[in-house]
Amino acid sequence: MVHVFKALGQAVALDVASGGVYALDDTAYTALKYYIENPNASDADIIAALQGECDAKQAEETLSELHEMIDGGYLFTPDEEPEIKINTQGIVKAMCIHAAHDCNLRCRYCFADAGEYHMRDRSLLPPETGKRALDWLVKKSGNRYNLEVDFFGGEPLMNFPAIREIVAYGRELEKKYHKHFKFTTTTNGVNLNDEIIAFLNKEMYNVVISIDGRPEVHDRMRPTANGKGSYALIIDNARKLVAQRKQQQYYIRGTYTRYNLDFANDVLHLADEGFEQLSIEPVVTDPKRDYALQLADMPRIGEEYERLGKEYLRRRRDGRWFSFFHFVLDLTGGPCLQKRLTGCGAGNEYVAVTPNGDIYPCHQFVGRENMRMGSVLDGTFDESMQNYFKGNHVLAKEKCRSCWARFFCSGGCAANAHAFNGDIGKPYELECSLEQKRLECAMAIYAIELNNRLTSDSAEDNSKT
Amino acid sequence: MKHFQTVAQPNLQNTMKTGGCGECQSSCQSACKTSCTVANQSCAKKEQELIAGRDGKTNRKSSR
Repeated sequence: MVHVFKALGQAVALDVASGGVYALDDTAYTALKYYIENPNASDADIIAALQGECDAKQAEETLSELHEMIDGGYLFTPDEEPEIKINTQGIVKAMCIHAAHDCNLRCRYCFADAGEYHMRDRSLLPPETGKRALDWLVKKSGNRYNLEVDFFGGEPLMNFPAIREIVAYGRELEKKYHKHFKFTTTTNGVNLNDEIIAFLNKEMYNVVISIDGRPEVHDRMRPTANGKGSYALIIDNARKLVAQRKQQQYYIRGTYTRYNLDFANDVLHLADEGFEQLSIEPVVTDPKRDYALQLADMPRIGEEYERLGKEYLRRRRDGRWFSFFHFVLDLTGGPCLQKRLTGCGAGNEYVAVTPNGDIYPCHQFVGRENMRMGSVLDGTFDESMQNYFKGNHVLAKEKCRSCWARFFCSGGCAANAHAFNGDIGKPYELECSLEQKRLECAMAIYAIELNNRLTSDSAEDNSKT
Repeated sequence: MKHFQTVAQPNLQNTMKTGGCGECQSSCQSACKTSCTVANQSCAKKEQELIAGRDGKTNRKSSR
C-alpha cells in the first residue's frame, strides 16, 4: 500500500509496509497518484495524465523514475503480515502512579472528574502503597532495565512528601536489582515552589506541565476550586522550572476544545512565552458537551494544523526553534516494527495504580467498571486481562489493518476505543482522523526541513569551492 | 533522482530482526496522556548508540 498526499504544500509518498517516505515534486505526485488510482495504466496513459503539467521530456523522465522506484522495491512493498512476538513473558515495565485522587483545580474537561475518577474517592497515595507499587513493578519487569514511573493524579504535587519518599525508595531498588527508574511527573503547576522545582529537576526524567495556551483560553477551562483562573498562578512557576532544566526533557502540555479551534494561536503563545517543548492535545470527552470536538470540525481542525505547520517551519528556520509533540517524527531512528505493533502497551506492559493500590490497564481506565486488574498490596494480577490487552495489537484491529497510518499510531488509544465504542479493538473515529492529519503534516515538515538542510549544505559546499 | 527524493529509507521490516528489546518509552507516558502516537518515539538502542557516538547529543537535540 502506498499513501500519497499533500500537506503544507509538500507532496509526499509513504510506502506503508516498508516505512519508506519520499518527497515528490508536482509531476511525480500526479504520476504516482494516477498510477495508484489506475493500477492497470499503461506508460502512455501516465504520460497523458502528465500532459499540461510539464513538457514531454519531463514527463518521460518522471515516468522513468516511477519505474525505477517500483522496480527497485521502494514503492508497493507487499503487505506481508510480520511475525508477531509480543511480550511473551507477561512483563510490565511502565507504571502510572496516582499520587493523589484530588486536585486543586476544577478543569471543566477533566476525564478524571477533578481527581475523583468517578469513584467518590478523594484520597492521597500512602507512601507505603507507592513503595509496594515499585516492588511490584521490579518483580514484574523481568530483564528490562529501564522502568518508567509517572506520578499522576488528580494533582500529584498535593502529595509531594509521598513522591519524595517513593523516589528515594526507588533509587535504593535500582542499586539492589540493577534497574533504572525513569521517573516523570504530570502536574498542573499550582504547587510548584523552589523546593519542589529543585527536586523535580534533579529526579524527574521528564516533567509535564499543563497549560492550555493563551490566558483567556486556559482560564476558561482550568479554573481553581473557587472559580478563578489559574494561568497567573502557574506561568511563572513553569518558566522557572523550565529555565532551571535548561529547556531539556519537559513538555508544556495543553488541551484544545471546540472553544478554541484556532489552537495554533495557543501553541504559538506558549512558544512566545519561551517554552520550546510543546504538546497541545485534542479534548476527549462526551460528544454532548458543548466544548467537545465533532467529526464535522475536522476540516477546520485540519486547516489549523496546516496553519500551525507553516508557522512552525518558518520559526524553526528563522532561529525561533520549538518542538511540537505531534509534528515530531523520528523517521530514521524511530521505533522498531515490534513496538509499532504493540502501541502504548496499556494493560500489557503499562499499568496504572490508584491510591488504594488497585491496578488498572492505564490511567484513563481507572474507575471504569470491570477494568480493575488486581492490587499491588495483595499481589493479585489478572493475567487473562493482560493477555486480552496484549492481543489488541494494531493488526488485530479490523479498521487498522487497511489504514495507511497503522505503523505510526499503532492502533490508537485503547481507553478511547473502550469509552466510545465499548471495545478496545474498535478505534475512536475522530482520533483516527486527527492522527492521520497530524502525521501528514509531520511527514511533510520532515521532508521540507530535510530538503532545506540539504540545500543549505550544498550552498555551503559551493561557497567553499 | 530528480522527481522522487528519499526522505526515509524503506527499512521498517528489517527492524523485526534487530528490534523488540522493549527498553523504549511507553508512548503515552511522554507527553500526551490522551492520544497514542508511537512513531515519534525514538528507538532506545539507537539513542544509546547516538549518545555514545556524539558526545552526549540526543536524537532530538541533534535534529535542531
